[in-house]
Amino acid sequence: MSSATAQATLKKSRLLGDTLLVTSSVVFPLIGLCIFFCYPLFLVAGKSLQLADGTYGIANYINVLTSPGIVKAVGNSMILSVSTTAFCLVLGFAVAFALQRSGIGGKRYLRGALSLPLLAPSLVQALGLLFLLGRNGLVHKWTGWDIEIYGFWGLLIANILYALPQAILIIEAALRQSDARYYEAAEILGASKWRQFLDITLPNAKFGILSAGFVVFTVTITDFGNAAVIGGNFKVLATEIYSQVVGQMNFGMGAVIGILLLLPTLIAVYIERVASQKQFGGSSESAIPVSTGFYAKRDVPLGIFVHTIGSIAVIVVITVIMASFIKLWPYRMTFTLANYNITLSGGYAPLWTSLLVSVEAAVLGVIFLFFLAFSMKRISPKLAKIVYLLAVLPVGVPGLVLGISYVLAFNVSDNMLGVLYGSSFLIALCNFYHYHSQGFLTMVTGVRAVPPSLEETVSCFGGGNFRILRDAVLPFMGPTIISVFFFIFMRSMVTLSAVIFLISSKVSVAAVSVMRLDEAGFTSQAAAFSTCIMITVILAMGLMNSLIHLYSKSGSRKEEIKNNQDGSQKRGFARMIDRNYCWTST
Amino acid sequence: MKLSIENLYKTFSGFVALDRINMEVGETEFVCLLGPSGCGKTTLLRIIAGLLDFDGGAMSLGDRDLVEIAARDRGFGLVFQSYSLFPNMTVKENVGYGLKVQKVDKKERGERVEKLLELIKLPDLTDRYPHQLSGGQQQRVAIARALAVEPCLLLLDEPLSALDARVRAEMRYEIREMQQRLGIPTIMVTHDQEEALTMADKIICMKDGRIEQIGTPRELYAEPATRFVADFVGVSNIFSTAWVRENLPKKMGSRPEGRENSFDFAIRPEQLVIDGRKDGADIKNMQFLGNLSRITLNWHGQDVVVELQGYPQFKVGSSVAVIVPDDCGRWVKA
Repeated sequence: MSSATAQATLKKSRLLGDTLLVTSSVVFPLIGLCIFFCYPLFLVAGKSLQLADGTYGIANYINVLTSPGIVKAVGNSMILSVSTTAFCLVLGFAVAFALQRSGIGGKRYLRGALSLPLLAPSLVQALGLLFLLGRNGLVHKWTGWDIEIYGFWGLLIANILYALPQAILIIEAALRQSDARYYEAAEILGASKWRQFLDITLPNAKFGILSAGFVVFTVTITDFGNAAVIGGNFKVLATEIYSQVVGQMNFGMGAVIGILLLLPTLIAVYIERVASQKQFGGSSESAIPVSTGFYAKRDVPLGIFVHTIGSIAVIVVITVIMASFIKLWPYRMTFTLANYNITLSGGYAPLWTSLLVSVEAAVLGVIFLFFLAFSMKRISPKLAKIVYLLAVLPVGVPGLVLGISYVLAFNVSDNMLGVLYGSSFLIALCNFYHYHSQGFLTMVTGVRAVPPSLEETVSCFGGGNFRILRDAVLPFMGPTIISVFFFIFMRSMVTLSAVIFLISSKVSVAAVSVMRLDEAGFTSQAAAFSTCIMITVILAMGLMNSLIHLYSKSGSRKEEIKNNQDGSQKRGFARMIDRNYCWTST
Repeated sequence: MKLSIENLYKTFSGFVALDRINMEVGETEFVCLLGPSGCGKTTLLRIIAGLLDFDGGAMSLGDRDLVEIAARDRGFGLVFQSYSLFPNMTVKENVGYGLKVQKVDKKERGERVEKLLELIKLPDLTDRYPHQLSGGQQQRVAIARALAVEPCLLLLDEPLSALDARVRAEMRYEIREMQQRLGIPTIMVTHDQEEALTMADKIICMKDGRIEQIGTPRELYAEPATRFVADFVGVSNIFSTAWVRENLPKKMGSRPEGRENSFDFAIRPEQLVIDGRKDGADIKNMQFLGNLSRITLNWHGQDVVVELQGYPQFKVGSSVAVIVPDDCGRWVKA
């Protein structure tokens, strides 16, 4: 009898352990989301309705919509974003097509070149353009031409360079989906290459192109860095919101613009979700990849075109790096390290802060998101739906809006949350919640790649959730965890739009330093500082790749066996896309 | 111990997945759940394993009520179609995994694993990883892993579907032999009627969440209770009552009482005989299958399939007579 009771107690305590694990892995991330995402956003919505005298109404909205400056900024932002989107789609499709379907050479190089902008703060493109085409730029010095780079055109080029990699990644994923058999069928039916392109390639990539369009639009309309550096007198919403909130302490107006900025983004995110589901729902599990033959008539001009684009991206970044080693660009072209002696705004302290903040955000992110994703299958489907919705919501909130919301929520003295304001940890939290959705989605895909039967096997042998976690889930999750960690880390290193509102005289981050240096006229030092950021991020990227490589080498058997197991090819594939997805929306 | 299930009921958000399931699995019995995809057989297996809840009914093993017991505490063995070996563990570690979870000491574990590897005839592959094995070998390891913990019930979820035809035939025999030697009650899910017929002591034939018929392979084939079973297990010619009344009036004598369309007459193709000297039925099509020939005829407006051994020399388009022997054929529920 006693052994029976003992067994019963054992069973109970095991069950309790299981429940406790699941409960805490859902509850803690949820509390985090509520305090550091939902609550601040509610404050923004509230503030946008609160009038100067403390009463509530829509006067702020009327004010905003009737003030000529802001109406102009809205118009400018729209024109800019629409043109950037148009250019990015055309160029992005060309590059994606070249990478996925053509036989051009130097694909690896091209891919690397065009992912450079993801590794640097957004203002690096603007900085590079100034060094090349500005009043003190190379072109002016060599030719004497007076190019007006400040303003619409400069901003347009900078934004295209900045948003292009993301468009390419999405369209590439869409092009990768196709099946060689479609083309073989068309070939046998006598369709020309051009017909095949029109009838198969384009329709299949339709949703990818659509979602790339929305992502680019969103990224551009909410981007702050390029607008601050090269925008000149061309006022856009992002800079306007900054000057309203930080310059004039006009929180009501800032909140209204924040809410307005939320609208296009939310619509875009929604359509993108729907589109991506349609796109990826249509592919079959056993698709045969389309071969990439070389057709001189198509690939020579295409190759020249896309490599030109790639070269521009590289030249802009290289220019920034070179300028950081030059005494007086472009007049006295002698080598110097003096620019790296940064004295303004805390010297290198912000770089270390950035590192700290990024590691904090990444560690926190990996732990919270992993457990949250792991628990999704183990809670009731209704609750899971709510958690899922909440977890992917942050992707619809631009950094600027999140930044303002944090100011409203944490720049207070009358409650506990105020303690966090001005600390680096709050910046880490802000970065984590800024990139919450992408990390979460990647984790969920990773967890989904674990064969459910493996988890069930553990269950049938009497293993609990801890064992399932260790023996069935973790062995499959290595690469996912590594990519989520570095994704948050790298984004956190370069992001500007949210953190710009959270820095104080004591605590600042690297991307903000670049902006400050540029504002103060120390462009060469700004270039030097950017170079430091880029080096850090590139090192992180190298580390990530070698860790994943190491992992898959030691576990090459894992990848292989997964391919043998039914349906897992699609899972692996879907995961790859989502790993890309990680990078595709800021 | 005997597994018994009474009036089990399961819905998925309104859709009835399992309806009034009553079944038993005897102490050393090999039971097949047979049915087309979507009939609920895998759902039933997962409920028995404890991986799914059910909405009503009772399920017990011996005198233990299984409702109270979570999957992890049931002590069943489970084998999947997809093998589901831990990719990061060797064959030895995979087989010994259940014992490790149950904290069996290392020495005993080693001995048991060795014995099992001998049983599945792979004693030399202990240190291989799953990806270094063929599909058949992987499935054997998965079975050994399930057997290692001496389960009181072995559950096989389409274990042979992922294997190629030859290996599948071999494994049928091996699994059956192993099960008989160890005397473990076993439930296997399959949609392959041949697999069920060759392996099972008892077949439970399911359709749309209900049990159509339970019986030995012989019973199911020779005495199908319903039109579905007659058609799904093997091939049958099915005739409506009206057609039989018109063309085979002798058979009407054995028809059970019931409304016009509540019973059909089923007869196996191999039970029919063809007489080439008379006429009445037109040959529409002939298929040569090697050991037999399958002939499709039009007989009084109805397609009839006849299978003959040897090498019949009929011509497509010619007219022959179909003879239905007196003791052949069965009335089945429509």
